[in-house]
Amino acid sequence: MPKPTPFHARIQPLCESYDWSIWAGQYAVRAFDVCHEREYNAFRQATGVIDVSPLFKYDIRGPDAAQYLSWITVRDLSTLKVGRSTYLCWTDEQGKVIDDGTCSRIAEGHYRLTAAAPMHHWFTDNARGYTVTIEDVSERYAALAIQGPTSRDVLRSISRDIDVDGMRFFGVQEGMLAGIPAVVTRTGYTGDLGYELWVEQHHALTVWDALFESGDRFGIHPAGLNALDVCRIEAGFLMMGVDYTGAFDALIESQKSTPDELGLGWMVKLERSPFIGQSALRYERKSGPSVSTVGLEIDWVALEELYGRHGLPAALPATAWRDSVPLYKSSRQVGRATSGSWSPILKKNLALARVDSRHSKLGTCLDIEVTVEWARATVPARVVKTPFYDPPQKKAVDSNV
Amino acid sequence: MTRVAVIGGGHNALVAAAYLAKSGFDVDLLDKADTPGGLARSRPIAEGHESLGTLSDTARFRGWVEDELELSKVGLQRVAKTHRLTLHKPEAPPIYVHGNTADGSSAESHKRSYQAFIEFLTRISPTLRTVIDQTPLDPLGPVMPLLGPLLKVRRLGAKDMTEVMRISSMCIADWLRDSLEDERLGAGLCLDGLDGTWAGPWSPWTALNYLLKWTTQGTPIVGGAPALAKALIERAEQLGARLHLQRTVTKIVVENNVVRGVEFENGQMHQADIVLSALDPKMTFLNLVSRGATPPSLIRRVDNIRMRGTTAILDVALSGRPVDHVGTSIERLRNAHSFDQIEQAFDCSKYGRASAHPIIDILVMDASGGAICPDGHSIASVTVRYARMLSNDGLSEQDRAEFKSCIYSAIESACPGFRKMVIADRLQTPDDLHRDYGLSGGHLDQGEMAPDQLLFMRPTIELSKYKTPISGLYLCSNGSHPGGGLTGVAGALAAKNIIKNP
Amino acid sequence: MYDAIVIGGGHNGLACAAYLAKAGRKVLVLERRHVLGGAAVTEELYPGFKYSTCSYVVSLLRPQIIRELNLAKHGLTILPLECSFTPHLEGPGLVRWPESAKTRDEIARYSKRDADVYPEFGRAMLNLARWVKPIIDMPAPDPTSFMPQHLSAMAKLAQRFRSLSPEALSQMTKMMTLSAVDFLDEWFESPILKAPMAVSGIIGTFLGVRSPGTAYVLLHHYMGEIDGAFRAWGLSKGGTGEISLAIARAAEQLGADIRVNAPVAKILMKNGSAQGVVLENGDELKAKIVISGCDPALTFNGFVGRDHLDSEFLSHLDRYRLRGSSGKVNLALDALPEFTCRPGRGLHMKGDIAIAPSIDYLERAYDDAKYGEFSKRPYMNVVIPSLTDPSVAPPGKHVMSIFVQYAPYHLKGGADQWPQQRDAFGDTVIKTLAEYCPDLESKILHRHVLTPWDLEKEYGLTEGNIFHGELSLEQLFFFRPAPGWARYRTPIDRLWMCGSGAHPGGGVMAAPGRLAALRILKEGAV
Repeated sequence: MPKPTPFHARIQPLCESYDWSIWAGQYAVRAFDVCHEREYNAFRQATGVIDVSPLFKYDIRGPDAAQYLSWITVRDLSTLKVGRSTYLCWTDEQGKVIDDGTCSRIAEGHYRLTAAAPMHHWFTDNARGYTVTIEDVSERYAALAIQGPTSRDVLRSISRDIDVDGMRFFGVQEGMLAGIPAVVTRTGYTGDLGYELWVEQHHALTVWDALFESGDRFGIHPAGLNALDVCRIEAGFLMMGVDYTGAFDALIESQKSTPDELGLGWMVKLERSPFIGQSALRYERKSGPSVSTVGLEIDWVALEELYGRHGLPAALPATAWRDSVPLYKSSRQVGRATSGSWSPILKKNLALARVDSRHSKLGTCLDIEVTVEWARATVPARVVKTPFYDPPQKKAVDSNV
Repeated sequence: MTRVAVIGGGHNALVAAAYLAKSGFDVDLLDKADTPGGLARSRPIAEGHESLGTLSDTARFRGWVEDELELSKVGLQRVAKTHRLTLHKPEAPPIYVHGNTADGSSAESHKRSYQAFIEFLTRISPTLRTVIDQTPLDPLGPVMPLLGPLLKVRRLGAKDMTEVMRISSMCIADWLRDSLEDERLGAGLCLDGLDGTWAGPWSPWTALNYLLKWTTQGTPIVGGAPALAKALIERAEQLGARLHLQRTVTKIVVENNVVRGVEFENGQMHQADIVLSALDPKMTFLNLVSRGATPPSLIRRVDNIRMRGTTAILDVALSGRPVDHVGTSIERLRNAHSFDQIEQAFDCSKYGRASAHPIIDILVMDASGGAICPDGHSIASVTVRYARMLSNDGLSEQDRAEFKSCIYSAIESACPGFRKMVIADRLQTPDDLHRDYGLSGGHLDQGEMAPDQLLFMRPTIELSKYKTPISGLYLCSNGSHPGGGLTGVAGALAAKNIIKNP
Repeated sequence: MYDAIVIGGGHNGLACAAYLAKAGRKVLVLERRHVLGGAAVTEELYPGFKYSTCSYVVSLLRPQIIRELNLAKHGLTILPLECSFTPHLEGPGLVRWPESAKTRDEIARYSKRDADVYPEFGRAMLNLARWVKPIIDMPAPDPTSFMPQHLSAMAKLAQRFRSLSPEALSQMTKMMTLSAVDFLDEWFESPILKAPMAVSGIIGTFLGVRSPGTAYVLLHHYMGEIDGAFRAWGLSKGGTGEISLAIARAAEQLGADIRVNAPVAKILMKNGSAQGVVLENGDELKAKIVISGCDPALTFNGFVGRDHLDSEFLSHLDRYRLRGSSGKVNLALDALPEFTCRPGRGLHMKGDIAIAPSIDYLERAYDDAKYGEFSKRPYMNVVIPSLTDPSVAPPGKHVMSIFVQYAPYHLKGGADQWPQQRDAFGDTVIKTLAEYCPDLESKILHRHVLTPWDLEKEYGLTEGNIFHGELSLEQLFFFRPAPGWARYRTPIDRLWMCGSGAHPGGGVMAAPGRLAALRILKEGAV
């Protein structure tokens, strides 16, 4: 039996479509309405609220916390200040990515790490020699992501002692939300202005009610995974299990990826204190990754023509798609597109893909497989920069952008 | 000259230091004790009475190491013949095993089966010996080197080869019951197969240990382990190695995966190009090597090395020479007479207790044999199975006294009058061994002699050739191949590997 | 005259006959009892209740045999066993479910770390199992032989080993040599989780969970294949006997003759060669070859006679270890009992139920047996098949299969003490189980107790060893049943072996039966 999240009592009556999914053994809404459009628009035009409680969360405390985190993840966290957060990943000894998540420095010797998969054993097994405590607080804390251009206003409306206007991109603050102690991070998965709220699970419903009461005038709306998926693709964010296989889930070597292969090489500085995977990644950097992750823009006109041949208008995927399709260059397969979606806000057909590195330069033209009327064909797709969608309010401090 | 720092002062450390100094390396040996020799050195039991060494069996110290280091130059000698082994059983005449004969074992057929048994072991010994006394081969490495030993084994002939393969995984009780008609003889001999294991005679794979031990048997050294230790110390210094005592190493300094030297308790740093650790692999990697220098998977494998010490040593100073229960003086005596008896003693280990009826293996030496004691007196070294394993709260005084009393009961029933001769004694349990010699788990072999911790897996698959993934760091303790006992092989082979690839 | 006579209508003998019949040979199977199946048998010992008297679960039945003999058409249906339940005297116990998130929560109750590690362990085991599986399905080569077929088979084996990474080779070596407990200690911390996991390593062997060599059998748990999915265990609809009967139907349809109530007295010998068999009623039946589906001791000491065998083979035979260690209690129940730690008729009852509360408990059970007594507090593996397969009991009533360890064949006072000890043994089993479900005794309608003595006398399993011989390395592969005789031939000309005493060994696999038939055909023996 899957379990309900702490917000289930509020969410369940709102899910008119009965379209549920199971995320880490808990119920998660795919779409509240039969179509996710309204929820997507909330994310992009106002504020969408999504329950992200199924994320795994670990509290790391102790005098060696920063050194430990710098050992176990690919980033040097000795410079992460109190009140700051960062996006990172961690690899195994061969440099293959296990998972990615965020690390927030909530207080002096107190860090919180999020992950998509259970990591307690990996974290504790590799803590030898470090004076740290690692606590799995996944069940203890409920979490909501409030994302969208009006989310700052929404947050301001329920908090009194949090410096909302002063909170920079990837900032962290502790404070009260509607009288409930919370941790607020300016992070999110939609590539837009947004916050994640972390509260003890028995306070979940109180916070939800407060949010929806005072947030109503800012266009607050509950959102599900389908809407989130479109946004995260627009933002160019990878999803573990879709765009890459975590090293612990892979059955064979070729299913694993290094940070450089995922386009996360920017977070890996090799010349620093030792970290797990360092020597393997050093070796890889000598020749560079053989595979790269890119963003693709799929040629609309060609797609229209293809459908037109059958007398059909071009069909857009109803939701974001996650089943890989092959990518070709001169009829040879050079990779695969791992997820994609039509972007309503950009009016473009987008995809994230893994390709042989020599075909990963910006502007490269590839062919992506499309199946129309059960016949396989291809249309051109061009390698473009990600994020596809990068609104100024995402990072801005000022409300008036 | 390449500077080598050897951590530890036991026989492997001394052997390695001697080989390296001989080859022109600049060697500093760093021992935390005030006298070197490690488990081989003697310790005073009473005024004028010194122990025979915590490890007292020198019969397997390799002749080739002795020759290559020219230990005769410092007076090392072998006794003419092996000790006579007395096998005791209550209310039955003792069996005397001397070399390849067993007297007192009841029937003629028993003697014949023992002869056949010895003949088989003698046939296979030379082949097994060559495999044991070389650096373990990598089964995943180049094929050519592997063919050599494979062909050697094949040359044993189909029958013997099949027997070796068949026997290896058996429990020693089954094998000895099949081979020897007299269970008393089997039980008395099988202790050799149980050395260093966490097992009883009914545990599979104990036969393999017996094979490995028997095939590398030699004759003991005059003066026993303390004499061996003295000879090694003298020779190492003669060859140019410098021995530093009362130096406790607290860190092996590694930077960018290269060893830089060691750090002492007082914070002082001693630089070296090569660090050779004669401490067991757990001590080395989990306590000494700089944090972050050891790959996580290696840490995990080292952490999983099983080192559950269950052997205790009782050193006794005696005012005379002990005798067996028919009055014959003893050189070596065991009270094991049935497999079930030994198994029941082992059962206690599984539940975290010491055996109430311990199995004892007594070695006795007097001054004429080289022991340090007055004429007419003697020193006994009693190997006791099974002691309580190391635990966080240690052994209480009461438990200790109770265990000692059980040991003396066992000894007295096999050697009447022993108690009256006791001048003084010292009991070393796994807790003591851990504290005094830095042995993880109080394990005298620095790692259990189990099949997954032998040969190419000892101490772990990546450490089996004495080299480590850290450049310049090597291992030479008995935690490496071939395992326990005063053999000198680990020290010699580690040194040879360093000399080959400095 | 038949091409081949098979002694024993157990599942291997039947499989062997089926494959020979498939190749057009004339085969006769002779079964002593009134019912086919050997130890893979269903017997209605109490009206309306169908007991899988001996073997009660299936997992390793070779998929290619199911396909090749079309067993589904002949009535074979395997139903999955839902879960593994370990009740405790205090606390909620532990259940491991097919759904990993559910299992995670159960384990997390005792150790969060172990909960994370459990699926990873499963994946690592699956990888090792995938590597090992082909070895079960291939005939055992002779390492001492220089003949090309053996050399190339050895080379292939060596190549397989060398294809492993150092990490995998290290794991594989540990898998083959460690005790179940020591192996699990490298992965898990909670003794509550380790005990029921470790116990699968000692089923049917005379070893304890702390004995070296028991880790290997853990792998079997991950080699089980049902409907192409790797799953541990399943139930045969209609009882385990339906597996044997399906094979028998396949064999008959392919032209084999099968007779029950036809006990063989001895093998007909002439000039050191097997000519056929003599039945207990004196009838002589001739055949070109004779194939024994019985264990080596019964085959050679019983049917052949020791005078026909040379001293070397006899010394191997005498060293072949049987040493039965298990017993069985089958119950007909008026209603379902309730487990105190998880009351109610939940899904947790539909799997296997293991009485294995701690490692010390299991080890003490073994200690008793080592010194010649049945365990005072035994390990038990309980299945209530009627919950999944209502056809084996009247509506609302149930069958309970209790597999018990340890029950040593060699009791301190001799194996013949067993008939006097049978009731005491049965009582011990029931009383111990009743500590976990106190209403059990009041629901028992009928009790059937099988001691190792009964397994020998009734089912032809010498010394009550359910695998026809210990599955220890010195008796596996090239050594099974004796060095040099691992390819189903015997020292007696025209006598072959096809039971669990031959490679790859015991369990309801039908692999020895099939491989023996294929070898017989390959060598043109018929």
